[in-house]
Amino acid sequence: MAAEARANTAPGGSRESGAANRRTRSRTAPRNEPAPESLRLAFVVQRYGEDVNGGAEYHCRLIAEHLASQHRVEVLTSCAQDYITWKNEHPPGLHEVGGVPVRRFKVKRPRDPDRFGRLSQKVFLGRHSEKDELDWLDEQGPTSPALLRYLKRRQDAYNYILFFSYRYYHSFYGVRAHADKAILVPTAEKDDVIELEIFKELFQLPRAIVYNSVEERAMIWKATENRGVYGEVVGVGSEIPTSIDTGLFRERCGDLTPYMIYIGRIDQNKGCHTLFNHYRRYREDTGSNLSLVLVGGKKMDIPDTPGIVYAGFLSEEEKWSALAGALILTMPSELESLSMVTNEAWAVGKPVLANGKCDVLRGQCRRSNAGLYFDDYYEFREGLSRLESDRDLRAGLGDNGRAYYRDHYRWPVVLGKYNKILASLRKDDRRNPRAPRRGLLARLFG
Amino acid sequence: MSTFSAKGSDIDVEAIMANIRKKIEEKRKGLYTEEEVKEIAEMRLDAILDSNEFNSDFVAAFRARDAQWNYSFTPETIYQSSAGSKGGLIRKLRSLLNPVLKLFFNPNPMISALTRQSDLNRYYVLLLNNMTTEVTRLNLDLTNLKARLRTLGVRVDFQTKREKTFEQMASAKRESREPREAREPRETRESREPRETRESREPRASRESRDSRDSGSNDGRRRGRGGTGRRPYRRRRGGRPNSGRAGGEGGTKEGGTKEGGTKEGGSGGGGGSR
Repeated sequence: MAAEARANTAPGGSRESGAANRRTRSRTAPRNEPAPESLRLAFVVQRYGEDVNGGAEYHCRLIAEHLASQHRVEVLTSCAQDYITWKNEHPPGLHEVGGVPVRRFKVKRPRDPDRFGRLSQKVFLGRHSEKDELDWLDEQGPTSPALLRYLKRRQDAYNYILFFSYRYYHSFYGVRAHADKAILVPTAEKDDVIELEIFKELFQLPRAIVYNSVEERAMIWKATENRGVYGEVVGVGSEIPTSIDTGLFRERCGDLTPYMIYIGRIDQNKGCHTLFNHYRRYREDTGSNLSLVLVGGKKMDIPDTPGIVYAGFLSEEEKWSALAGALILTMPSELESLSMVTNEAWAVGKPVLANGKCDVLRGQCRRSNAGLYFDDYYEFREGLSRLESDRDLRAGLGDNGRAYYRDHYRWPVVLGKYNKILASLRKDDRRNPRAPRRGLLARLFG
Repeated sequence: MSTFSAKGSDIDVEAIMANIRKKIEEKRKGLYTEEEVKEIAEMRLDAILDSNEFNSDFVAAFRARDAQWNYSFTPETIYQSSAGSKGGLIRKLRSLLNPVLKLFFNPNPMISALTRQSDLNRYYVLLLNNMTTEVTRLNLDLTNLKARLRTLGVRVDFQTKREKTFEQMASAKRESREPREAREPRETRESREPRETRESREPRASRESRDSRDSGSNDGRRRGRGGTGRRPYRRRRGGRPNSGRAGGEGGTKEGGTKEGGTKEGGSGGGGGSR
């Protein structure tokens, strides 16, 4: 999910402010449903801000900003900006981002890459103990005991606490300390971290788990055997503009032949290397004149293959214009917990050609009936060839995509699911009220 | 719980994908075409490596994050501290106490060995990378050779079949020729030859004696021989084709031809028997 988030937060981009978002939301809110009970919610996340590039962080910001129209939301986060070093870059204290109060806490110590590397090797490759895993977690960071102390002190001020990204320090210790109020949004990917012993217990603790996709839920169920914990597959919504100027992108990039688009970070880890190779071979094999337009930050060299057009960062309007003008969206990444840009492509009726090695993307394509997928070059060639040549197929897949987006990823649907989870927990709390917290004297002498 | 699926659509992605896979499988089932073999032979190594998910920048990636997998060990390392600002003070203190440490043991060989080991680790990575690259290349060569071998095998099969077919054709021709020869008597063949040719081969003396015999009492014998049903070649060409008897009669009519009018006329009955 990181890719599209990064592409979306383009410099000079016109991401709507929180107030503007709320205006949009008020228009799109469902009228027939009763207004949910206003609750006090804390969002705990490793980094936060409009300039923070990261899938889980962006996901958290979108949910927080949208839920802020119905609940009292506060975000608790670190002062870090960089997820490698966790160096304190933002000032600590209370701020406001997009109309949501954000409280930042200092990270006690930055990450030591040497130590983290050694611990990672030990934990993922060799025999190790639970202590090694806990050491790895501490080194992984962002180690902010101040945040946890604040949460402990002020826990009664919140009805529920939403922890984003299970793999970080704040979620691990936060969920353990406040399990009776914890709602975990794991944003888990298919990697070795989920197999660590310390997380098996963690996934048994929260009151509810909000999964990004059916595949993520299946993976967590398999790794941690936590089927008994209440959970919902929700994901995150997308804001679709009411009108798209398709000429905007062509004004910027000039007239192009029909094109396939990739939106996201242009990075080897996102499968771009494979995409470039497959695309080059496709052009050579088929003689197609289909262009490949790349939108987003460049983290690797782009080859001089004919037909590849690097559009760079685009504003929101330009991005939608580029997407609306494309024949197909391609998503070559193997590691995605949820692809927002795929949902956005479906929202505007564009079929998707995704990497089938990513369980989530493959599952989304299958369930939506709105995209094809490839495991190797031959499937890429056949799939792309069909999509390029068959207008009816493209239209049919696009229609399915629209329906899939409408049913599952419109903001009213997503917020409705969050409110359903909150209402369910609230109902449960009313039925089984917790004993009031004992005061200090009672705890000392009673 | 939401099913997260689109219903009521007439497009089935799984069916399309199954169809695509089937098509690819069918293409792969047969032998490589000439173009494919050529393509494989001309394919650049990095493309193959990529298709096998092999990172050709393996060494570069490892070198870029050297600190994550390898360690660096300098003579100062053993005195360093990770205690932040206090670390400098601790390091100085340790350095000051170094002479005392050296009273117990000499750390220099250990430092030297660990530094060397760190370098060796890098060499091993390089070596492994080169070996992996080489193995991948050899694997590619092997794939190419296998494909070539398969193509050659097909050609050999084809040539063998072709050879057998030719042999069969030749023996069938031979067989069809042999029975005909067995049916045709030698004399008849001779009788098919133009008379002039036969005469030109025979010595004049014997020709004269035969002529004298023919003109005498040998008529019946000649007639009987004609009764075998074979008519002389020239006769057939000259006579009407559809009526043997008529031919015979015609023969009689044509008896005025220069040689053997008697003889040819005598064979009329024989001609009619055909």
